[in-house]
Formats: sequence, C-alpha cells, structure tokens
Amino acid sequence: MSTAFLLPATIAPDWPGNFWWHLLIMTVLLIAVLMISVIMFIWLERRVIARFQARVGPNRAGPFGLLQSFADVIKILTKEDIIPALADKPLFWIAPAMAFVPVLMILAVIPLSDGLQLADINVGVVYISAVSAITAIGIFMSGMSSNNKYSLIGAMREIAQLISFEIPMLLALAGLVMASSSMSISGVIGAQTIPFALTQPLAFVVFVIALLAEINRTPFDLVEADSELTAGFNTEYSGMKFAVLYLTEYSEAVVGSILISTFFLGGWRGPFLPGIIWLVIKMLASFFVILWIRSTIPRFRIDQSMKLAWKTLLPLAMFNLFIMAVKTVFAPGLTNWVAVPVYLAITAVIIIYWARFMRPGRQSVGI
Amino acid sequence: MASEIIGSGLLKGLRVTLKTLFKRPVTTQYPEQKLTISRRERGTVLAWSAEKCTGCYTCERACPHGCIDIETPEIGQKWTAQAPCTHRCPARVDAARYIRSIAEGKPGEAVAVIREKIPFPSVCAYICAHPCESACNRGAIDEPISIRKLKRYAVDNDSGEWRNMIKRALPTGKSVAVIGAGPAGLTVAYYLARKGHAVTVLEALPSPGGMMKVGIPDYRLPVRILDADIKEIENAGAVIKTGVRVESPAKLIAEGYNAVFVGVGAHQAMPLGVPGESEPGVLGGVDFLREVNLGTPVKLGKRVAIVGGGNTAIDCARTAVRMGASEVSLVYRRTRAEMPAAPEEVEEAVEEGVKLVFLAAPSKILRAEGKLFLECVRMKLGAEDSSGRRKPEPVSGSEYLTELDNIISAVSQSPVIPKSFAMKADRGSRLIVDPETLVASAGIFAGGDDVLGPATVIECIAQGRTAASSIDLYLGGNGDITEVFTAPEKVAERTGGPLEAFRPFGDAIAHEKRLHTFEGVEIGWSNEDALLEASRCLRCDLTYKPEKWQLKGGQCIYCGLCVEACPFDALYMGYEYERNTYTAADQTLEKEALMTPEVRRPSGYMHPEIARSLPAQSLLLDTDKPKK
Repeated sequence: MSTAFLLPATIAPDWPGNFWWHLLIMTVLLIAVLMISVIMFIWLERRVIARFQARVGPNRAGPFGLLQSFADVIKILTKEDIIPALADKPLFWIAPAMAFVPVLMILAVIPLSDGLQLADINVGVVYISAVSAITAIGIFMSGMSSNNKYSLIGAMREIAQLISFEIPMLLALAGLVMASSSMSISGVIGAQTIPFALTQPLAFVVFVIALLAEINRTPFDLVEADSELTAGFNTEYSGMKFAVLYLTEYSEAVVGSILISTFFLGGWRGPFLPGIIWLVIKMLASFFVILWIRSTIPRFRIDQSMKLAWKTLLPLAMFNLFIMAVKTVFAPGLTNWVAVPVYLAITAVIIIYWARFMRPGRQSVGI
Repeated sequence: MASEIIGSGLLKGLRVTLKTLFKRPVTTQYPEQKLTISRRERGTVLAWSAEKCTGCYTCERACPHGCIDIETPEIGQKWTAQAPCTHRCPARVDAARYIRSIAEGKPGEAVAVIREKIPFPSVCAYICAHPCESACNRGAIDEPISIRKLKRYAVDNDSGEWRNMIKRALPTGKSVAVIGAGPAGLTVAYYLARKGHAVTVLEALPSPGGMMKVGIPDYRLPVRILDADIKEIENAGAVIKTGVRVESPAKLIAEGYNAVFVGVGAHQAMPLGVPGESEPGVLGGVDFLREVNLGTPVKLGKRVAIVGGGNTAIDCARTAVRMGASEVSLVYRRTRAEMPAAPEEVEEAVEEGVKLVFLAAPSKILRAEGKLFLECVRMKLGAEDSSGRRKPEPVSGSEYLTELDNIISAVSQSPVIPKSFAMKADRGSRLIVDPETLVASAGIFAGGDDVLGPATVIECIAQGRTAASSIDLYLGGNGDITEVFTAPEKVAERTGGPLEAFRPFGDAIAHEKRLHTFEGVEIGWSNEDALLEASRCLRCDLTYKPEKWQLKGGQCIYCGLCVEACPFDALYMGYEYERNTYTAADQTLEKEALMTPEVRRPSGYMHPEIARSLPAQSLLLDTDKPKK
C-alpha cells in the first residue's frame, strides 16, 4: 500500500521546508484524489443506476466497463469546440474554470485522515459555505454568456436554487458548529464521538436535501432539465469546455459525498481501519444514497423546489437550531448513546407534523 | 392521514428501486419480447375491403367518435369456416369454441368440447406443442391466445359433465390388437372400443403411455395426469396388457384378431455419428429419459453435456439438472434463433442454470486416463438450406476439448421396427403406409411416430383418429368416430375482448424446488386470469359477413384508429383528396343540417325528385356560384 495515504497525523512541521513541501504534496494529492474519484464515480453511477433500472450498464470497455470513462474523455476531447456567434466570449471561456475551481478549493480544508489535510483553518465551515457558492456563479456565467434562452433559464434557476437552499443548509450547519463549539473541520470531526447524523438527525436530513439541490442532482436537476431546457446551462458547450463542466458536476457529487461524510458521519473516524479507508467507505455510502434518490424520485418543478426550500427545509433547520440551542444551554453534557433514540423520535415527530402542517389545499410540496 | 400518504409514497418508491437493484438484469430476445407495431398511416382516404372484413366490430369499438356504422346479418347465428386455430390443429379440436365456453365460465363444457376430438385432454393441456397458437389471429394484434394454458385451466376445473353424453355401441364381435400403448395406439384403442370392438393394447414397457410416459419428464407431465387420461380409455373398454413384446402383426392376425394397429413409436436415439460414441458415459437422449421416467437408477456425473437443440435435448438438460448435475451445458450447432425447441422451454432451462453453447458441434469423443472428453468444433452459419434455416459450416482448426462426466446425444429419434414384423420401411426406417387410410397390408394398419418420424403428441393423436376410422370401415362399421358431448351451442355474441391486452403471467413453482424435484413446474391459472385470457379471443369461427360498412357522414376526423385496430387488415387509409370520399349530396345535406332554420335554404337534395334533375357532383347552389 502506498505510504502517502497513511501519513502520520502531523506531516507538516516535521518535513524539511515544511510549509512548501506540505503545500505541494497535499495539492497534488488532493487533485489526484478528486480526479480518480470523479472517474470512478462516473463509472459507479452509470453501473448502479443501470442496476436500479434493471439494465447492465457500460460493460464493454475494459473489465466491467471500467475504461468507459476514459473512452468518453477521448470522445469529448476530440469533439469540435464551438463558441456561439453572439456569445459573450470572455465569460463563455472563463465560466467552466470558474465553476470547477471552487469545488477543488473546498477540498483544501477537508481532512482525508487524521491530520492529512492541506489547511486546518479555524473558520472551515464558513470557508466551505462561502467557496461552494462560487460554483453557482460559474454555472450562471456559462448559462448567461451562451446567448441561448434555454441556457439562460437554466442559469436563472441555478441562482434561484442557490439562494433558496443555501439558507437551510447553513442553518443546519450552524447546529453542528454549536454542538462542536468549533468552526474548524477537524474540530467538527473531533466532536463526533457519536456521528452528528444520530445526534442531529433533523440537520442531517435538511443538509442532505439542500446539498442535493446545491449540486444539482436529481430530483433538483432543474438547471439542466433535459425535457424542458435541452441541456440547460451547458447546451452550447462542447469539447474541452464541456468536459470541464461535466467534471464540475461530478466533482460536486464527490465533494458532496465527502461533506456528508465529514459533517454527519464522522469523517475519517472509525475503528480498526485507517482513516482514509473509513472516509472512502462513508463517501461511497453517501453517494449510493444520492444515486438511490436519483433513481427513485422524478424531477421537481421549480415552484415545488422553491416551496420545499422555503416552507419545509427552512423551518426544519430552524427547529434544529432551536433544539440545539436549548440543549447547549441547559444540558451541554447530554451527548451519549442513550439520547440518540430521543433525538430520532423528536426528528420523526417534527418531520411528520410539519409535513401535515404544510399541506394547505392541494399545494403540497409532496416530498 | 396526510403524513401517511406523504411518507408511504416516498418509502414505497425507495423500496421498489432498491428491490430492482438486487434483481439480475435481463435481456429478452425477439420471440419473448412483446412488441406491437402501429399499422396506422394517417391519410385522407379510408377504404374498406368486404372480402377481408369479418364484422368483428373492433373498429367500431376503437372509434372515439362513434362514427362507424356496420350492419351485419343475424348476429351470432352464422357458422361457416373453421377458425384458424381449429384448422391448424391436426386433430381439429374446436379451440375457438372451448375458449368461448371458458369465457362464459363453463370449464366443464370446454373439456367436453375437447373430448369430442381427442381422448387425451389433460395430456395436451400440459404438453401440447400448440400449433394453434401460431395460427391465432390475435397474434396480429398483440399476442396469440394462450390456448394450451386455457385448456389446462379447463381440465383443472373439469366438472365431468361430458360423461352424461357418452353413447356406447353394441359389441360387434370383432377384435383388434394395438401394438404399442402410445398416443396413437391408445387413441385407436379408445375410438374402436367406443365403436364396440374388443380392443387389446399390447405394450412392451412395464407401463402404458409410450413417449408420453417415458419420453416426457414428470415435471412437464405429472404421472397422475397421464394415468387419469389412460384410465378413461380403459373405462371405454380397451384392455391394456403391459410387458408383452409382440413378435409379428401377421402372427396376431393368425391368432384370431381381425385387425392390427402398429404404433410402436420412435424410441431409438439417433447416433451422433462421431468417433468414440460407444464410450461408457455417453447416453442416448430418449434412453436417458426412459430410464429416469421408469425409475431405473441412472448414474449421472456432475458435468453433463447434451448435444442437440430440440425439445428432447431441453428435456434431457432439465432432467439432468434435477438429477443433481451441477454443470449442464447444451451444445447446438446453430444459434438460438434456429433452435427447434419451444422458446418458453429454452427460457425455463436457462433459468434453471443450463448453459447454452451455440455454433458448436461434437467432432470426437475420447477417453483418456479414465476421463471423458468431448471435442467440439466451432461452426459458422452459411447459406440457407431447404428447411429455410442457415446451414452451419465447421470452422477448421477451431476444435476445443471439454472434460465431462456424461454426454447425452439428443439429436433425433428414429423408429425401430423388428425384422420379424416384415413391414416395408423407408430409409429413415419409417413404415410405409397409405397416407389416406394408414393401411400397411391387409388387416394391418400403422400410425404415429413410426410413420411420421419423431412428431408431436397431437399429430399422433390425429393419426390415431384416422387409423381408428379406417379400421372401423375395414371391420364393417361406418367409419364414423364422431362423438358429441355437448349440446348445440346457442347464440354467441361476438366480442373481440380488450383492445390491447397481453397474456397473464403464468406462475411457476419456486426455483429451489425446481432444481431438485420432478414436481410439475407450471402452475395453472386462477379463474380471473383464465377468464381474462379467454375474453381476448376474437371468435374467428363466428363469421358474420357485414353487408354494409360506412362512416356516419362528416363526423370522421381521419384519425386512423380504426385502421390500427382492425385485426384483419380490412381497412386501408391512404392519401387522396379528402372530398373524393364524399358525394355531393352528402356534403350538401350535412352542411344544411348544421345551419339554423332561419338561414337554411333547402337545396334540391332535401327533395330526391328535384335532386335527380340537378347536374351531377354539383356542390354549389346557384346563388353561391362565383361571378365571372
């Protein structure tokens, strides 16, 4: 096994020229991890979704179709690169990079194992929420600059979704920060002797749904709703630029799975196995759930999506914040396995009653 | 309430997708695939062919506007030609009528209708090759009626009411010997016994039934089903003696029998024609099946290869699976599309784990160091031969070896006629008889597999009927073996069933059970399924030639749904100028009908006597004519 994955907890100070070596190694490592994960996730998604639909999926290129993604890359790169006549050229050019780079930047603060992390900054949660929003700007730029009405509609939907779902997502994270009394990602992981998915299930549900919307996965893929918007924001893109947008989409899925694992499933923590292995297992589990949801629920309309964000997720996130605030003030030590069923019960009751409450007339959001 | 609906819907959806995840992905091939192709071509001209139309009213039911007007004479009374299913059946079983009986909820009457033509209703219900289904007109719409399974439903729910109508003839004092208690022989015995002759069936094997008993495994035809049918034949008066090997038919005549029917069947497996065939461990397909069916212990290894692609090969493969062989493969020299075996049986064999090896033919069997090897050569498909199948040609140098415990050759069967019979046979050792009367020589008749070569049960029954009729004539009877077990049918309403509906899914017993026991695999239909399936029948045997087929003027929007719905291609839609289909009188009158009374100015067409004086095809009244 390669030693790079199992580096000790504190690589930075002990290395010669510590900071620059650390920066170089970790940057290369993170980019490599992301690229490999993306390629594997594309393959995994196609295979798993195929099985969900009682198909086999790609199985010709290489063993189990493993080389399919490489074949696709070659196909995409050899396509003609077209820029529409009346497109806003500079924006059109810069948009894919603008969308992709922030995804990579998120990884900078994620510990892949104990201490295996580019930078452990003390406002990690704020950093992640700030940087992740920039991706939406990139997608918006690509849609706006394409000079295509479908792209523009897709871009506008992206902004609408970003604004709507960012709020419940951040409120859910606020509960975590309150419970772990730290904004550093290592601090959040350190606080998870019991994973937050169990002690804050309400925040977990809200976060996963909001994350799905943020990374534009089905059922929230309104941005590229192919039945109405041809391909949405990337309709006019081809060749390398399309490849980068495609890469962005899957990097978001990878990073999304990492975020779910880190914030709610305890990150690299786990018995017996090395931290990186635990993280991969949790990532795969999160990704599987994302795929499961994708193959089950059809796409929402934009109004349904907005209603879900504002009328359901936002109040639920506030409930969670309130519960956490009360707990932190009155019973700060109440974090043990005995309390978990209580949390789960409270969550179930709140979700069920809120769902009933939010059913005025026939305008149910129908989650 | 609300929460239940919201939560349960989502959870149910997640459960369904997760279940699918753990299912094995399936690719269906053409014969199993359910395809409907639209025959609709929208146009402006609708034409109707009086010759093809059967007056089934399918188009009328398909029309969303109700603008089709059909007039047929005396609904349900006209009985004319046989339906395609009846016509295709070698024994002419009136399938259309018994399906109607089932649709009316009278399975007992259905069995009576079947019994009028064949003495083996239950056997046919389980294993008939159903040529009727390939002739079914419903196949042109969606899927043929599942006639065999409907028959199975009928015999499973038999009330036995046909017994009330049995007519017994007085004894004639003539005696007949039947050699071989197979489908043909037993049919002859049954009908001759009914005609009052004393019939003795002589069977060499320890139990009667012939190929039905020893050639068809128990999981397809349970023994009790066959025995019940044979019991009815014994009830009719035929005496069956088992374990009797006949030396020669002429000797039987000399012993005092007035006539002899030879129905010894085709029980000899054809050799593969490759070197090493006599090695121990190489079995003949029918020999293997016979030993298993008769309960003789057969030693079968774990790795078994079956050579051949017919129903016998599939039977051998599935029997081997049930005997505990873990690696069963079937070697066939063509591809799946050319396999003569029934597609549904091939499917079931694959489900049970039989591996199909296509485009391979055995070239050598050898035994080295006590191990049995099969050498196969790869084939490729060449030009079409006389049977319309592509002829396989060996690819030289592509030989490969497989280590096996047993090899079963199930390529074909041939009759074995003992020399002492002194009967004429052709090159395939099939008996030569008169095709009309089945006479071989004076007093000696022959039929069944020994005349046809390996054939289906229903073909042998048909031969048995022919033979029974001609033997009766020979013995001085009138040769009429018709039986009537049902009252004449009353008015039957013509329906075509649902516009588009497929066969209900048939159930089978659990997979694990199938692998280890010889229990019947197929499970019969429930009442609902059978009624649904029977109601799909188009009732082609009731022919009503329509006297008139017309559109109620002006309402047709030329959507073409009627053309699409017509199962008999009697409607045609094409491209012509729309007005050509109307007469001037029709259009003018329709236009007038739409006007309110104040503005209506009656044309001459309202008054036929004036209309006759108007110029032909004039649409416009004088006041509307454009000014020049």
